[in-house]
Order: sequence, then structure tokens, then C-alpha cells
Amino acid sequence: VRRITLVFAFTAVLVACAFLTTRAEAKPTWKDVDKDLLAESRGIVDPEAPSETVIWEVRVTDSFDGKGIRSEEFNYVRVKIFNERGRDLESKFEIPYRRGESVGDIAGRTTRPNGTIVELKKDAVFDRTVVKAGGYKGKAKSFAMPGVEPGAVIEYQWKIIRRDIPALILYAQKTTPIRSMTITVTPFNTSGTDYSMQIRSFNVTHGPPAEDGITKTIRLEKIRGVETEPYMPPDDQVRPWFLLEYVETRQSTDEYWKKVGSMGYEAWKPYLGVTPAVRRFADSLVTGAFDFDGRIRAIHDFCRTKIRNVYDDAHDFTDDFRSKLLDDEKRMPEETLRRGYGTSDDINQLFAALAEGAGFRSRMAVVSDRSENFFRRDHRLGFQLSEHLVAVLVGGQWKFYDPAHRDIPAGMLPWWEESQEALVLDKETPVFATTPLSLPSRSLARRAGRLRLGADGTLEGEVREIYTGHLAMRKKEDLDELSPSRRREEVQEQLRARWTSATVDSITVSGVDEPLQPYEVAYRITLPDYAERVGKRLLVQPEVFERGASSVFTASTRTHWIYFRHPWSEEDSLTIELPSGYEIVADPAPGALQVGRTIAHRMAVEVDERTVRLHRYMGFGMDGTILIHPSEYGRLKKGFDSIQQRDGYTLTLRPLEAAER
Amino acid sequence: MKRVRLAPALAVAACLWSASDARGGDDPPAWLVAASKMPVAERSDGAPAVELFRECRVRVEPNGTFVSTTRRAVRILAREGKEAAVVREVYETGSGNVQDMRAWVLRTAGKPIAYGKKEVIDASLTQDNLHSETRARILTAADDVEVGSVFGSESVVEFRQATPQFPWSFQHRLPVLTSRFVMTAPSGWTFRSRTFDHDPIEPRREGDESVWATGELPYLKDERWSPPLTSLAPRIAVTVLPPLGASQWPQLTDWSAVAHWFESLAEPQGKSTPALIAKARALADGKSGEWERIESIASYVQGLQYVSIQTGLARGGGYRPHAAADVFSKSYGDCKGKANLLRTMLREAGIRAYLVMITSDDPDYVREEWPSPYQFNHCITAIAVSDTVRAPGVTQVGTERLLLFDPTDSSTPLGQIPFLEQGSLALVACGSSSALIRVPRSEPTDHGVEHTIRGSVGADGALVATVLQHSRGGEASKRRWQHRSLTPTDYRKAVEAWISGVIPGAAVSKVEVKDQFRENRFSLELEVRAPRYARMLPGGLLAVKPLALEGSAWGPGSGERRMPLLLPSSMLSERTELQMPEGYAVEECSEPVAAEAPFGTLHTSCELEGSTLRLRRDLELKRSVVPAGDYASASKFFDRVRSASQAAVVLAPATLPAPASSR
Repeated sequence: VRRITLVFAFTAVLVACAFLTTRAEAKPTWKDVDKDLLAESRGIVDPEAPSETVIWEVRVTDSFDGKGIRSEEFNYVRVKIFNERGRDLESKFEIPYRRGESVGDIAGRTTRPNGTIVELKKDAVFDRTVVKAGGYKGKAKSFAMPGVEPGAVIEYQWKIIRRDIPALILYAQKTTPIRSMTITVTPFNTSGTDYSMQIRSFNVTHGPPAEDGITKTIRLEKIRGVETEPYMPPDDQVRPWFLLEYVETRQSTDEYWKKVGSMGYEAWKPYLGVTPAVRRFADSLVTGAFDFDGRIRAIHDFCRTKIRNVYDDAHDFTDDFRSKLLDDEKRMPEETLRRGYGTSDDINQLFAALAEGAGFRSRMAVVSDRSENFFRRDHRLGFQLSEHLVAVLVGGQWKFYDPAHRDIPAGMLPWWEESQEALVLDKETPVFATTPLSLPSRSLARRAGRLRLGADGTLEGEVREIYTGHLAMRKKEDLDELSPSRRREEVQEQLRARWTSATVDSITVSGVDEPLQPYEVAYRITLPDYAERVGKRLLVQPEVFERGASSVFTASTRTHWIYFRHPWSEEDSLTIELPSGYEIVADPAPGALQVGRTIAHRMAVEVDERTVRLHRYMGFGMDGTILIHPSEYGRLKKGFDSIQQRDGYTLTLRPLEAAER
Repeated sequence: MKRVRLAPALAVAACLWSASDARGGDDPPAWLVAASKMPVAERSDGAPAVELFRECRVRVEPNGTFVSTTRRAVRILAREGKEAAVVREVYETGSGNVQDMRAWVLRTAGKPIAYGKKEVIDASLTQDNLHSETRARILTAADDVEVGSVFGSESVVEFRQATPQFPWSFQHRLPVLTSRFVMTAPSGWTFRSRTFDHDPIEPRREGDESVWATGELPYLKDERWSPPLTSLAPRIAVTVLPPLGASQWPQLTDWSAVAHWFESLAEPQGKSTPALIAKARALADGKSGEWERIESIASYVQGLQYVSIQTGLARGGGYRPHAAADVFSKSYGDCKGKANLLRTMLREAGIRAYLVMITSDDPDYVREEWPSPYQFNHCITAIAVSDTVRAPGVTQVGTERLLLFDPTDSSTPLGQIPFLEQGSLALVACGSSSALIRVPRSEPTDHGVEHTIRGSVGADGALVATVLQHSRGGEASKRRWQHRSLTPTDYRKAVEAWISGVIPGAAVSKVEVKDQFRENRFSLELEVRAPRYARMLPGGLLAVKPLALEGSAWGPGSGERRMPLLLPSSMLSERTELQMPEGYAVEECSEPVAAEAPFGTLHTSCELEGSTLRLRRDLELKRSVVPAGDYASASKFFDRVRSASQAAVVLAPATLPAPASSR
């Protein structure tokens, strides 16, 4: 009560201040643009940049206005344009906003290279509803800066007012570089409460904030523009951003997570009931299995194969059906068991209940989605842990399962849930434990072919490719919502992307709808001109699957960490019958290559009278490494280039009459 | 494949529009129930869905407003056909509104599902515009349909238009059993129609309605290198003709009338201001000749930013340029705004110029038989020039020589015409001399690419080479655009990715661009090192493959073909000159290739002179449409292209060592 009274005491002042501020900013003020800036012809952060943000000031001011917390975010931006590309990138704006937010005080001006100023007119700012659906309305203000040309300096400012938002994210990066950025935060005065505003920064280093009473200012210098590279970590692991949030001050990080774990447990507890029916069913499932792995696999396989996930697009559940299911409050494990379908959580809850019913200790667990962000325990952000799992205790260790994903076998998790700290929910002792990372052998591409090479260089024959683990999951996911004929067409297109001249027929695709089976595709292929004809010779690359494969890395330099989703391996075996009338001339096969402890490559080629047999193995992530520092890029690139070279191993077929001469 | 015959399909369809509309609550309407009973061949040429019924009924009100009612029934034949269960109506705020939008799903089992207001999404369609009044109402049931379901929709839109003309497509890509366009107008009003990409469809009178109907339209599958859908799908264009004095609409009976109407919108927007006049004169003054004066002003306008703001569309806003003075003061504008500013500035410099309506993305779209502004989506400028001006963009219109120029395309210089506008019909609005003209088309030789590769190959197979890429015309514009749209770092990465795609493991140590914009030439010079370019073969042999930097994967790909093949016009020439390692001689070299097809030629050769190996590859394609039936023979030509780009040369050491292994 005392706090509220205090709040109201300040309200009038704050509202008045806000009003005064608004009035003051209704007529924008601008700082002078000096001649030196107008004369600049290249960036300071990046001399090749098409434009550079010279100043970006963000001021966040929270206040209580009697109705709740009013958060005002003011932005002022000054940008130097160096060329036409910079002009095109920087002069059009769209500021999206939603219900409960308002955007105002938009002002802008352009200082041309000759010093003349063109103001952004009020009627050049457009307001429109971007999308309206159900109760949602998304709006946007848009404007284009006038008179923008290479050499000009543009300035613009705007304000967004939000209400009662739990946290605010500020991204501190643009497509082009930023020379200087300041973020000034004046929180709502929380003195006398257990809460205070915390400013957390991600992917950026900066000095301690300057403090002026409760106002904090962070200065950032020389922020590079967005750079996209292949195999890079998710955006939020790369770009600089800040999180502004009111947090409980008297709580340690450990206490925070304990609370999250305990509250999560309480929330889930009512939906994990192990009824006699569930127990009986669990018993029937594990009958005949004698060890932990066998028993848990039986339950896991049942849940992922017999209980259909209503969100799996392979199952043809309709939105209409899903909404009715979500409205149903009877979604207990026994009900899910009876129905044979459920949401992802329903399936995991059933798995947890069946595991309990079979005599194991199980708990729900949460983990972050590694495709979006990497979990950090020191950041007290519960929303990091967005994915739901089941933990089962065996031998004092927690093992993790997620049978909601039907194509992932027991012992593996979807790749984005692997190799991270998961929080096992418990009322008293929630704990963190690391989810396993599947070895390369669990995600295997096994490709085999029996092929014949014609004297005209055409290669033809039968091929079978089998994929397991994460590789299979991805392929099945790509195809499971397609009809059988469209699946074959899709496979045909993929194979033509691999071999542009290929004619592919007799395609069979299997395993897509069979969770317990690997993904398998078999086909007959004809590759005209596969062997390179050089005069009378034919040059043949026996590693057919890697023929024409593009380089994994092509750029000479690297900025970001290199990030592979998961380890994987490839095993190829090929038998190629060669045309008669030729002598085979072959160098020894490349043999084995090891790139650090992460990549292994082996190739063996046997040649007899008319037949070549190739066996190849490639494994990535042998030591569990999937995230590699950019300083290792050169070595990694060289390794992949070497593999590509080895895969290009070539046999020469020389006509016998030439050989005899 | 068993197909439903047209006659029975139309007979069933005849019941559809006579079916009573009386229904209660959310029940599917009778026309949809009737359509859902139409028999469909199981796979309909591999289409994922089939449109059973497609109808647009337009009622013209005496006050000049239109009300369209669109009905559609689609049977889902395969999972990927679910995305056809969507209805979308585009409208302009201020001149139109979607009065009603409903949909139903008739499932194979269970009750039908009905959709209404609650499920409708209303979205702004700004596309490339900073702001636009164009919006769409969308209702999707894609997540509710199953294979075998029938999705039906009905939407009612009221709208006004600047001119009373309607293009309507009888089909999108899916096969259609019955397709109808129906118009109703007050007594005394008439219609004139034209049919495109189909045999003529004449209207039938049914009471007070005029009905254009067809059916059994086959699946228009999206295949690589096939013509755009706008040139494949049957469509009609209907012009409403009110009695004289009955409306304020312009009577667009011929192209002169269209040009006149366009001029009436554009003319008031060409007023000058003192600042604009001063700028125009400053740009032109002191320039020695006609070309230089034009070029100075054209470059200025071309350099302004493209920003599109679309308002007042029903009042011709989509065709009325923003005032030249506004575009000038803001330094931005859309295509018509820039073209209009250019015209105005040229006028102030004493040079006559006109606006030209054109279509920018399909040179075959505009048809002479239908005088209508709705055939155009772009605007450029025609500049009157004397006999001394010689350029590919010059054409004769009446007594005037006009230089066509697109100030929106910043990659194509004055004198040339962007590639996709070449060959299109365009309307030059120049008063009484206004005319629909065919935009000149350049020859393949005018927009080709040349590669010159000079370097050496070491005994270890390593290549050190300089690669020079010279492109001209449309090819230069394309490459210039790519260069301008990337940062130097990203451009370098793109070049590195291109080169390592051709030569695995190659490193690019120099990337230098020389852009001769006025001549429309773009050059790229690279220094390339590839440690394992030449392959080491048993017996100490080296195999050297030609550096086919482009063109080796040209062609539509293999497999069955339904659609015609639209081949682009292009020319590629490659000259490679490599110093062989010392002590090596060419042991085997590929035979020269000379292949010819109605649409192209290929010539390659390989010569050794001293220790210099010379490889030559010339490939030329003429813009042509190859019918699907001729695909097999066309495919053979592209097989030759691919095969020739892989033909290697074998070098042998002067003294051959014993082979490593020989069986």
C-alpha cells in the first residue's frame, strides 16, 4: 500500500514531465551538421560501407501515469550517405507498432552536400494498418527522407510509447555500421520495492554505464553492420542487443532458476497423473524388456508412433480440430492414451506418466531452442527455455526424451535441443543437466550404387540412399506433407540439383510415414557425359555422389563463429562396371585424412579387370565439436577443400590399342 | 489420363448458376454443393487441385460503380493442393470495399466448415511502395482441408475504376472444369471483348446478362524456362460502353483515346517551378551537343531515388504522375514521377519529350487488340532527337525520331533499353501523333559476355590466371546492378563463391571492377590461384579442363516437358590461353564442336601453339519460344553445351614415367 501511495505521489509530476517533454519534442531540435561530416567520403568503422550512422541516441524513460507503466522510447539518428546504395538503404523507413503502442513526433531533415536543408514534411508521413485479423491490428508509420543524395547527412527522430510491457529489447545494429550509439535508460522509480531495472547486453562489450541518479547511459562505439555468412550461429547469438527488464533484486541467479523450476513443476503437476489405467498400460508396454534402455525405448516408441501429434503436418489434423482439442480441459495422460492423439505437450506428459507407471522417476524439463539462441544460465531469462522435454532418472543421472517428435529415436533429441543445459523441473530440487549430443554415427547418410559406365561416358544404374537420425528427420520433415507422387518429384528435383544432366526414374521413397524406419530413397539414374572424354581417354570420378558438389566454404575470410547444427557422417559404397576395350590407369586412392579431432575422411578404391569399388567415409563432429571459433576458419576451410579434392579422385580409362602402343 | 469432357462439365455448371442462393446460416450454398459433385479425373495431369468452378459476375450500376461477386470451388487432389484453399480479394481504400467474404470446406466425412468475418485477414499490399492504398482481404482454409475436400468461396466487392475495363483470367495454374465471366449493365449499355491465349470466346446473352464461358482448361505447370503465366493463361478483356452521355468515363475505343486520357492525367503534373527550371537549364547549359544536353538531364533524373507512393488509384492515381515539382524537391519518385520530371526538365531545356506506358516484366503481355491502360505497369520517357543521334533505343514514331529511355532503371544508360522492355508494345503519348509502338529489340551480339583467361599451369596442376570478364548491353546492366546492390565485401564473397563453384579450392586475390556506364560495358578483372586446377592422372599426366565460367548449366533441365520453352537471348564467348608446364606436351585434345539449332549455335576449339594452349568457346542463343513437342531436340543442343564445357585436355611429360598401376 505504501508503495502504491508513493507511486501516486509521483504520478502528477511524472505525467506533467511527460507532457512537457512531449510538448518540447513536438518541435524537433537538431544539432548542427558540421562541414567536416558533409565532406567525408568514406566511413570510419568500415571504409567500404555505403553509409554510416554517425549518432544513434536511444532514450527509454519509464514512468507511472496512474494507469500503469508508460514506457517512452525516443530515437534520434544521424546518418552520413556515401553512395547511391547508402541512399537507397537509409532513406525509407517503416516503424511498426501494435495496439497499445503509439508512434509520434516523427521528424526528419536532410542536409545536402552543399549545406542546404530539406525538411521532412508532416504530410509525407503515412500511417496505415498493415494487417488486421481477429482481434489483432498491426500498424506502421512510413516515410521517405526528401532530398537524399550521396554526400548528404540525414537525421530523423521518432518516439514510441508503450504501456505495461514486461521487458524491452533494443537491437544495437543496422545493416550499415554505427559510429556511436548511446542508450539512456531512466526506469520507473522502484525504490522501496524488491524490483529494479536491469539492463543486460548480448553479443557486445561496453564500459560501465554512466549514472546520473537512476538514469544510466551506455555508450557503444564502432558497431559493424550486419554480415551474413554460411554456417553462422542464430541471429540473436551474433547481433548486439539489450534487454531492459525489471527483476527482483533480492534473488540470486540460482534462486531465480530454482523458482522457475519449482513453478514449472507446479504448473505441470496436475497434468501428469499416473492412473491405474496408465500404470497397467505402462506394464504391458515394458513386458519383455529387461533393462532400462529397452523399457524406456518401448514407451518412447509407443508415444512417438502411436500417439499422433496434432501439430505434425504429416497427420492432416485441421486447425478446426486443434482448436477444439485445446479447448478441452480433459487432456490428462489417460485421455491422450485413449484418444491416440494430442499436442506435443500431451505426448510428452503421457510419456512421463508411462515412465512413472513403469517404475521410473520422471520429470518434465525445459531447454532452449539452439536454432534461436544458446542458453546462458547467468541471464535470468525464463523465456530462454522454450522447449519441453521429459527427464527420466537412471543410475542417478537424468536422461532426456522428446517423443513429441516422431522421427527422433530414444537416446536422441531434436538437434536444437541437444547439447544444452536443461532445467529438470521439481518442487524442491530443480536441477540443470546437460542434454546429450548425438555422435556422427547416429546421423548417417549411407549411399550405395551399382552403376555401369558406357563407352560414350554415360553412367547409369541403381542407387539407394538411407538416412538416419537428424539427417533423416530433416528429409522426412521436408516431404511428409506431400503426396507420394509429389515426394517423388521433389526427390527428382533434388537429384537434378546434385547432377544437372541426370535423368532419374523408378524412384521409390520410403520411411517418410514410418517413424521407426530410416528415410530411404532408391532410384535409377542415367548421367550422360559422366566420364569426361579427353580425346580417346575417359576420366572417371568414382565418388559419384560428390561429383560437382559445391565447396562448403568459399570466402577467404570469416567474421562469425562457424556453427554446424549437429554431427553427421556419410558412408558411400559404389560399384562401377567399366566398358570393355579400355585399360584402367589408377593412382593410389587418397587414403585417410583427419582435420583436428573433428573431421575424419577415408577413401578406398579397389580396381579389378572391369570393376571399380569405392568405399568412402566422412564424419563431422567426431569430438562433439559443432561450434568453431573464427580463428580456426582457415584450417577448417582447408580441411573441407582437401576433402573435396580427395572426393575428386579420378581414374583414367585408356583405349587398349593406345595402351598397347 | 481420363479427362472430363467439356459438354458434361458445362451442363453441370449450367445448374450451378441457376441453383438457388437460398440457404440458412452457415450451410454451403447450392452452387457449391452442385460443383462439389462434378466428376474429376483422379490426378488431373498431376495437378494438386482442380478448380471445379470459377466465376466472376460484375454488375455495373447506373452511377458508375461496379459490384463483383466471385465464386470458386476447388477440389483438393493432393496434400500440396491445400494451399489452393484460399480466397483473396484486392481492393483500394477510398474506391472499393469488400462487402462480404465467406468460405466453406466440404469434407469427405463430417459436417461442412463455414468461415466468415472472424477468419478474414485484412492486409496492406505495399509491395515495393512506401505507401499504397491497395489492400487485400484474405481467408484461408489451407489448414482445414484434406485430400478430397472441396473448398468453396464467395466474395462481393464494390469498387469504382478510372476506366470501365476489365481484364479477367479464366485460369491461374490449376486445371479448371468450368470458368465464367458474367456482366450485367443497365439497359442500353454494351460490351466489347477480346480473348487472349485461347480461341475467341464470344459472350452469350442470358436474360440481362452477358456470359463468357469456357472449360476443361489443362494444368499450367510451372516449369523452368517456361513463358510467364501472363502469356499462358486464357484471359478476356472487356470494355463497357455506356450510351453517349450516360457516364463520365472516358471512351477508350482506340489507342489514341488511351493516350489522350493518359495525357489528360499527366499534363497538369508537368508544371515547372523556378528552381526546377534553373536546375534543368544549369544541367543543359554549356553542354556542347544534343546528346550531351539530354544525357546531362537524363542522368540527373536517373540518379534520383525510386520511391513509390500510390494514392487516389480509382481516380487514375496509378497513372497520374506526382507533380514534377514535388519529385524534384523531394529527390524521389516512382516510375511515372521520374519519367514526368525528366519530360518537364527536358522541356525547360528546349527538348521535346513524351511519356510512354509500357509493361516492364513480360514483353509479350500487351496486346494491340485491346486499347486499355490496364495492360501497362510501368512508365518511361521518349525524347525527340535529330538524325544525328544513333542508339539502339531510337525508334521512329510518325515523323519524329524518339529515343526511349527508362529513368527508373539506374543500371541502363541513355541510348539503351532495359532487357525486359525490349520487344514489348508501348504507348507513346504525344498528342495527335500518339501511337502504340513496338520497342526495338537488340541483337544477341549487343548484350553478350566475353571471358578472357590468361595464365599458366604448373607441373603440380596449380593454376595462376587472370580472368577478364567483359559484358555489354543487358548483360552489363545485370552485372552492374549486382555490383551496386552489394557491399564491396559481399561482392567479393559472391565472386569467390562463383569462382570456387567452377574451380574447387580456388582463391581470388584481386577483384577489380571497371564500369563504363555510358557505353553500357562492365568489366571484372580477377586474379585466381587454384592449387589443384589440373588433375594429376596416373602416369604423370595432367588433365586440364576448360574454365567454363558460365553457361555450362544452361538449359531447362531434363525430364518430361508440358510447357513451351522460352529461351532468352544471350551470347557468351570464352577465350582461354594457358602456358603449359615446362616439359609437357599435349597428348590429347578434344575435337572441335560446331552445333547448331534453330535457336542457337555452339562452337568450341582447342589448339596448341608451342607451349600455349588455346581454348575457345562461343555460345549464342536467340530469343525464341520452343514448343513443348520440340523439347527433346532442344535438349540435345544443351547436352552438347554441357558436354563441350567438360571436355578436358591431357598433357603428358615429354618422358613418360611408368604408370602407377595398370590393369
